[in-house]
Amino acid sequence: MTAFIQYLITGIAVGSIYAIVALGFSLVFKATGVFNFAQGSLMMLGAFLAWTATARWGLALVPAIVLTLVISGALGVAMHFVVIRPLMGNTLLTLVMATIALSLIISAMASIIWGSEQRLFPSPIPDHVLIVGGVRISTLDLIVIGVSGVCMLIFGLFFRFTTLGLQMRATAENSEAAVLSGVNSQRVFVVTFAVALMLASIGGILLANISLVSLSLGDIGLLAFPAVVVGGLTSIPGAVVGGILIGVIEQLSAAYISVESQDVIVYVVLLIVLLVRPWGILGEREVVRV
Amino acid sequence: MSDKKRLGGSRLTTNYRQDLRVMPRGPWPWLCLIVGVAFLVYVPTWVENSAPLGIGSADVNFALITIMGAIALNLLVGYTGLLSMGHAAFLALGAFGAALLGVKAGVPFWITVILSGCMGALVGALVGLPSLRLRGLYLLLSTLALNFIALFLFLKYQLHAFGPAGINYPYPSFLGITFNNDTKWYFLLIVCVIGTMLLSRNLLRSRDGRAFVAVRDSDVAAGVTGVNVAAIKLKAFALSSFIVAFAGALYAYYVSTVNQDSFSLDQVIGYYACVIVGGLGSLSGAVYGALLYSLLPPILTQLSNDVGPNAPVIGPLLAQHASDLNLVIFGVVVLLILMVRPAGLASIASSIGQSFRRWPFSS
Amino acid sequence: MKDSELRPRAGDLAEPRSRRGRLITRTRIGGRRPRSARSLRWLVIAAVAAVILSACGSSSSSSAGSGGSGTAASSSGGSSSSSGTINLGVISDQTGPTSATQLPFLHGIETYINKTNAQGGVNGQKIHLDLCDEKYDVTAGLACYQTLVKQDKVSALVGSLNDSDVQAALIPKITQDKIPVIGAESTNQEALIPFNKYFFAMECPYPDQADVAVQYEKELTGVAAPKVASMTLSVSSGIEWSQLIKERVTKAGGSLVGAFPIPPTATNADVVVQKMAALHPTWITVHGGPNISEILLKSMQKFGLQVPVVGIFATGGHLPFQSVSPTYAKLFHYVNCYTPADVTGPGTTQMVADAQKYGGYGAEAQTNDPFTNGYVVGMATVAGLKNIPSGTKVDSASIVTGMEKVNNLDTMDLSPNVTFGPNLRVGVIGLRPYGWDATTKKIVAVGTYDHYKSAITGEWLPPQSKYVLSSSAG
Repeated sequence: MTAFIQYLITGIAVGSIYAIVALGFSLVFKATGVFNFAQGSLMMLGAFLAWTATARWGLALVPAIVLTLVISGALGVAMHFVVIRPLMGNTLLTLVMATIALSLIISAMASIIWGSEQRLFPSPIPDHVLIVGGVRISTLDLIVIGVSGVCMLIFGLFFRFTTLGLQMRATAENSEAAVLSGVNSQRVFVVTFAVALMLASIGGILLANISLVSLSLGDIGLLAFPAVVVGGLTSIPGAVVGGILIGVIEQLSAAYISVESQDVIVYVVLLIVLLVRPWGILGEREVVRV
Repeated sequence: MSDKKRLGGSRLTTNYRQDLRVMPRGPWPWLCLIVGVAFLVYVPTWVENSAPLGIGSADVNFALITIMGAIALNLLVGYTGLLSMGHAAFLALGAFGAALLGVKAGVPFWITVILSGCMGALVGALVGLPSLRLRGLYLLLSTLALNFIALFLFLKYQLHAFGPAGINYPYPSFLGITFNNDTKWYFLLIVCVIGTMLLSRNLLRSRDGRAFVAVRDSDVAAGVTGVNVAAIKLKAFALSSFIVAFAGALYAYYVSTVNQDSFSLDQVIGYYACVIVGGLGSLSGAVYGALLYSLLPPILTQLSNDVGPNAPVIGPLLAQHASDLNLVIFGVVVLLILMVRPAGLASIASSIGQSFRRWPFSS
Repeated sequence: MKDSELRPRAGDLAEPRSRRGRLITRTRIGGRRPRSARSLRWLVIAAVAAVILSACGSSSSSSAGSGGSGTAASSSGGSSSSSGTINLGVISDQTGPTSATQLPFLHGIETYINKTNAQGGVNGQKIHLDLCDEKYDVTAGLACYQTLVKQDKVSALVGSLNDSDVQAALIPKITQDKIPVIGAESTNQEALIPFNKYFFAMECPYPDQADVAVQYEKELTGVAAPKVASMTLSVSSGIEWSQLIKERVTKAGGSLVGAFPIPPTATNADVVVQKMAALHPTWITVHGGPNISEILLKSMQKFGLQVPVVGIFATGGHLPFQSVSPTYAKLFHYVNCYTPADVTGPGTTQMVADAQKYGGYGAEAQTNDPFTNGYVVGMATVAGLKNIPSGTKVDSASIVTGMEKVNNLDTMDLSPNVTFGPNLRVGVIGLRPYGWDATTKKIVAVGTYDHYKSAITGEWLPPQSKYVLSSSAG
């Protein structure tokens, strides 16, 4: 029983990272209809920026994180204006290829700027072990879960209670009606992208603390797709639920089925969800007009 | 069918050749054909001896295999509008078929390759089943999931049947010729590529081809006009997968050893980039895109060698980060094409061709 | 019905599909302006002319010098096989996924070659390294081979075929073309058995690593018949590693109680460590890169599993040791046939000094084990070239003969002595474990190479080479 709880907690910790990435996906998708394949590479970029700030420029952890968030936000705005805005309203394939091309460019630029060496994140988040009733929890895991929880809480409140949040929800619901109601949809899109990039950076920094700062951090983006779909592409709380669920499924299947096929099982789950209930757990059935 | 046949006493045309005779083009098409064939025959000797722009004979052969893969993807995505991320899995399937039949069972080369293609078609139809229920992004994600599952199964098979080192393929022989050097492979691959191109072109002229395009434009409307949408979608998957598996089997024999690292998601993205840069839905576009994608790396390498590591700014960049630069350039090209000229290189080529043809009346 | 009517028109793909989109995109009055094709036409004519001119101009291309930082002293751009230079090719991953280990390896080779050239070369001839980037991709590797061997006509390949796929694809070709390959950074079984005259291996093969790993753990724990757990990547070489360890441990009376292949994308080893803990292993072995040994140690720290860990050569470096507390860092050792620069000694001091002087790679040499590997490969290559009598032309055949004569080359403890022979193509036989000193924060060696030589069974040595084991029995 202890083992099961242990796996569960590790799963929730891993899942929280997936949840942050999935939240970024879902935010952008809901507001602009763009499925941002570059989210994984942006995570990696965020981790490298934070590393540069702490290791190269010698900042402490918190100012480094703040600086990274500011830079990511600016990059998000730039990305929106340069790449997304000219292509808005195009076919799905165009947008998908544009974000994939963007992710390739980002990965390649990161490799040119920082090289392919794997590095340890300096001044890491404290990693001690707490023992609660026979169950071992590391403070790193707790911080990861905590940070994800705080992010989601902030977003929930933001969407619910601020004007900008209300405008974002309106644009996501029905952009034409929102524009007719006086919402500046351009501003909403810009903010959405900036926020999504900041989320990706947070996820990247957390992940870099758990493992290493390396160019392969972006691969986690691939595992976040099942998270978004399982939770529901069209639902923001769904992304969070999906992320945690996928993390738990991954760890439990590693524990009880086989470690090497943990990724494949996640994809099998994705396939089953797509075939049976494509709109996910918390999503709504999509109505396509002919 | 006789060209001079008249129906009901009037000049009704019943085939393409009659159609085209409205605008006589003189000897030009035949001349171009002869020059083209001569050039293709000359390419292997030219490349072997003087490596123009740093392109070697291996590069040319890989470009040919990529062209086949790009044409297959164009069939699926460009003609029928079905977004599938399963390309790498089908290449692996081709290699698997070649391993099972050619290496383990000793079946002759040409039968192996064709049967691998058929296996690809069967599995393709299976993979196409989700496409009957899912559209757009969901189809993309489901084929992505299937891709990873298939690659995992390939790894399992490789470890079980061949061991950790990978699968080794002997030099194939066909019609008494053993294909053990690049020139022989070039001629084999050129024949296959031309066959694939003819297949793709004739498909579009057939009833099924038009049905593919109808399904892409609006499958509900196509269904209303009498197209069997489910059958067409499965046919598209089957045909495209046949070509990819065929190309995968050829690739396995050419490279002579594969393991699970040989097939990855990056290949799929590369093929999509080929097709989009070339121009979605156009056969010549797939060819241009594939050529650009496969020949850009050796050209860049040659450039980095010529420029040397001591040139200002680009010297060390090219010397140490040539492949990163390759990706950056290709990513930027894709973005530019998407933003500025979505119809791709093929449309640029055809508009240039038009301006030459219409001179001095071109705009 | 013309074909062109069926193809999608240029505008179709740019047409907004979603209703949401139509309100958002900027609307152009009067639609898109048709692009003028006249300027495109001239551009095409100019481009075609440029291509034809450049293609006719470049004959068998000779590439300029090595890709290191500009201070390298290597000769540049000599055309192939001219009397003053020896042309050697290098096919390695410079910019791909394994470049983190292969770049320092390349720089090690370059350092030694630059040093040799600065000291006058070999018999008055300078060595020129012709580099090609294979990006861990078989396609690019094959293309590199064509370019270097067929066009640039290099006499031998040095530090090439470092990734097992490319190695497997190119072994038949180098055998057919009789091109010697010296010092690849990995060794496939197929390259050694059957005996291949042209492949001069200098990377300790997996079975040798397994032999020494098992021997060391036996000495460390005092348990002759241990229970062992293994965590590897789920790739072919990982499965192979588990098998090799299992064979040795079973033969000694112990057992492999658990083998856990993990996908390369795994971010933590919690599940694996918990399962291992339940099996109570005597010691653990790990395969992969430094990131894999790091996540293993971190999870062990989290769950309090204090058991010795031994890893393959690639799992080493500073990273895994620095990521956990000293209590757990001292549990980890990795085996290698090359000495990291941290281990003080005349050899490493010389190497780091040379690295800084002949390429500015001082810092890289200090922290990257593969640098030593490359440096020793450079040493062995130069020694082999020096064995060619000065009147004889330096070509593939004479290089093979020259390399065969390399006997007991002393590398100043950077590796076991390098020995080849007419029937021996495995030049480096011997490994030792490396651990961590938490006070100095450096990697330290455990024992000498000779001490562990007796444990090596030479599983991948072809029959005609087995003699070397009895002659070097410790």
